[in-house]
Formats: sequence, C-alpha cells, structure tokens
Amino acid sequence: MENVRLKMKKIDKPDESADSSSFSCLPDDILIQILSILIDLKTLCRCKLVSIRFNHTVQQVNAISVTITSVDRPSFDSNSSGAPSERARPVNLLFKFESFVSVMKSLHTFSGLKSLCIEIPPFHKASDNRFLFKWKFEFRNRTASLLFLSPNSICDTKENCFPLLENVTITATGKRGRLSLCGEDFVPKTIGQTQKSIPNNKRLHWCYIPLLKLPVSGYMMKGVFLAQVEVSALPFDDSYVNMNFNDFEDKEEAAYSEAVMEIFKKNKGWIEGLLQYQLQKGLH
Amino acid sequence: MSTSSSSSKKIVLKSADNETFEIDEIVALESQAIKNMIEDECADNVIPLGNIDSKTLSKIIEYCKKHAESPKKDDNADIDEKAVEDLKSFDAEFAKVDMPLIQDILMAANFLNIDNLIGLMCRTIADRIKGKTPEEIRKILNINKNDLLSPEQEAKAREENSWAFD
Repeated sequence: MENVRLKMKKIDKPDESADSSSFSCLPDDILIQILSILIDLKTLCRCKLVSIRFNHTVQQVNAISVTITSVDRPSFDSNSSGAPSERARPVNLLFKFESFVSVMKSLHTFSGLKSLCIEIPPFHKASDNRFLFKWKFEFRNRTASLLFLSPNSICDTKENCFPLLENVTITATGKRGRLSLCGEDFVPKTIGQTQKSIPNNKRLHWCYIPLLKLPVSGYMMKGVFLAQVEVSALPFDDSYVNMNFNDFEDKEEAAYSEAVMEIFKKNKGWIEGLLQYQLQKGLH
Repeated sequence: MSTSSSSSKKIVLKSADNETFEIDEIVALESQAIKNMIEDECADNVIPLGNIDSKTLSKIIEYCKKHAESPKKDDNADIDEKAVEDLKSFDAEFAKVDMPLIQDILMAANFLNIDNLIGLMCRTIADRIKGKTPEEIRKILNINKNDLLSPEQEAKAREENSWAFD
C-alpha cells in the first residue's frame, strides 16, 4: 500500500496545488499532441497568439498542412497589346501572392517540421476552366519558391498531321462547350509582352507569352502565364536553365520544364530584373 | 501473472473524494499505469487515486468498460466491422461533455496512462478550437490571464501572421 502511494505521488506532482480545471495543468506533450492534430497552418498561426505557452509549443508541431487560398490567374487577352487591362489584373494576383509569401514565412518558424502538405486549389472559374496548370515548389536551406506555369493550351507540333489546317470547330450537340481554333492562333509569334517585376512587391515575378514553341519536346504552348514567387532573398540560380530533359520520365513534365527553361532563356531581362532587385535589397 | 483470465477478479479504485468503485480487473487493465502496478505486484485491492474526483473517475471507468469489452485490434485480423463502428459512436457520444470535464478526463487519462482516451480527448479539444480566433480559443480552454502574451508580443505575432486573420 505504501508502495503504491509513493508511485502515484511521483507522477502526480505537476497537478498538485493547481486549479485542476485549468488548461495550464496539462503537460506540454499533451498540448503538442493537441496542436499536432490541428495540422492546418492557419489555425496553428492563430494558436501562437493564445498564450505564451501556446506560442512556443506550437513551434514544435511537426506536421502541417497549408491550403493556398484561391490564387487568381490574370486573364490576358493575347490579341491586344492593351497594357491597361494587364496592369490592372496583377493587383489582384499580387495580393494573393503576397499572402503566399507570408504563409511561407510563417512556415519558417516551425523548425521541427517533418511533414508538409501544400494544397493548391483547382482554378475553377466558370469563364476560365480550360487552361492547364503546373506548379513547382523549391525547398532549399530554409528557402522556398513557388513557380506557376499555366498555358491556355498545348499542342504537339510533331504530331500535327494537317500542317495546312487553319480552322477547326468542334461542337457537341446538346452539350455545352465549343472549341474553335482559327487562322491566327496557328501563326507562331515571338515571345513578347514580358512584364518585369512589379513595383512594391519584387518577390513576385510573372510574365505572359502568347505562344511558346518547345523545340526539344515538340510542343507548342499558347497563352503561357508564368509566375515565380521567391520567398527568400537568395540570388536566383539558373537551375531551371540547365535542366536535362532526359531526366524526365514523363513527356508532359519534360514539356513543362522546357517551357520554363525557354522563358528564362529568352527573357534574360526578366531574370536580370530579378537579380538586380536582389542586389538592391542586399545593400539595405 | 496477469495472464489469469479470471474476469471475476475485482479491483477497487478510490477517488479523491473517497468514493470507491469496484471494477473487473480486465477493465482496470485498460490503464497502463494500473496494469504496471498489478504486474509489479505492488497494487493492493484498493488503489487510491488522490487526484481524480468521482465524477471524472466514473467517466473513465465507463470508457474503460466499453473498450475492455470490445474486441482488440491485435486479437484477430478480421475484427467485426460492426464492433468498430459501435466503438466509434460510443467514443463520439462519450466526448460530448463540457470542456472542464474533458480537461479533467485528459489529466486523469494521462496520469493513468490510457492511450486511446488521451487520443480521444486531444482530438475533441482540437476539434473545438479548429478555425477559432485566439480570443475564442482562450475562452474555450479557459486560459489563465497571467499566461497571455504582452500587448507588444501579441501585436508582433499578429503582424507576422496577418494572413491567418483575414
């Protein structure tokens, strides 16, 4: 009997003389267990404000899930050079990416992170649900960058067996949906309409290319939108430019990677703008 | 020694407010702490639990009874689906109690080392604070005012995580 009492007392200690209904009695490992169930980064960041104990315990959570809330893609009109509309659009996009940057920043406080799940919502927009979309995350030493690439359409130039074809219309009776390609869309254009980094937020870089030919994989991408978000201030490296396409098992992935490489290669100004900014930032 | 399958063996638990609960040993074995005591032969017939009140203890016994009766996962690979469902709905009902009792149960379960119950209570708390603002979480968990961040710390943390408050 005495033996039992001793044992119980020993484990019992933290609870004694404290208000048993108060949350502060619960040991830290229980709090970590509760916080770990939350998973969601937004909730975890809110928990940082709850109390001093929450603030430092939250950082020990090792599994996090992030949902990037609707990232809007600017809808460009490839036929017009209309700068005003293009200038207006990115503001919307910028705002969302700005929050992405702070999301990535708050992730940095979780140094014990073992599992990270990032969910990017589908770009479901009634008027714009036809475009393809690829993204790539880079994790380096406490660094993350996000790369979006989304062409409106891709066609395989090698498999084009009607080189003279100028007009195609497909309509499905009784079904909504109509695909129409005609003359101008087939004419290759050189890369243009490149937008440099946006003032006030130099961390987001994007450009739009009406038509991009990919000689290696033999695809042609139309209406390509590329955005890069750099979270760290580390200089841009040229790993995208030196990709080896034989490394890709997937033909599609190779094509997308080639597209990124082509854009970076042919838009040196874009990259230089990026580097320049980083130099400026370094001086501050 | 605990391999004896005689479910008739009884254990008496005594709460902080001196209420006694006689339970089958098999039910008490749900608690790893009590199991260790019994295995080390250092448990008398009456086990005093000086930090658990009778209200909390009766809830814990209710939980342990149900879980001791249910087939264990490792007993047999194809356990009854229905039994699993049954246990799940029991757990869901069991967790429908107010926050102070949840915290008491959690404290006691941690002390008695009942893994499943700790997990259930943690999930319950997590569910209740999910999507809530810091103020709401403080209220739900009854966080002591002395434990709050200073206004400066709070302003800084709020700024650093501004996106989480949109």
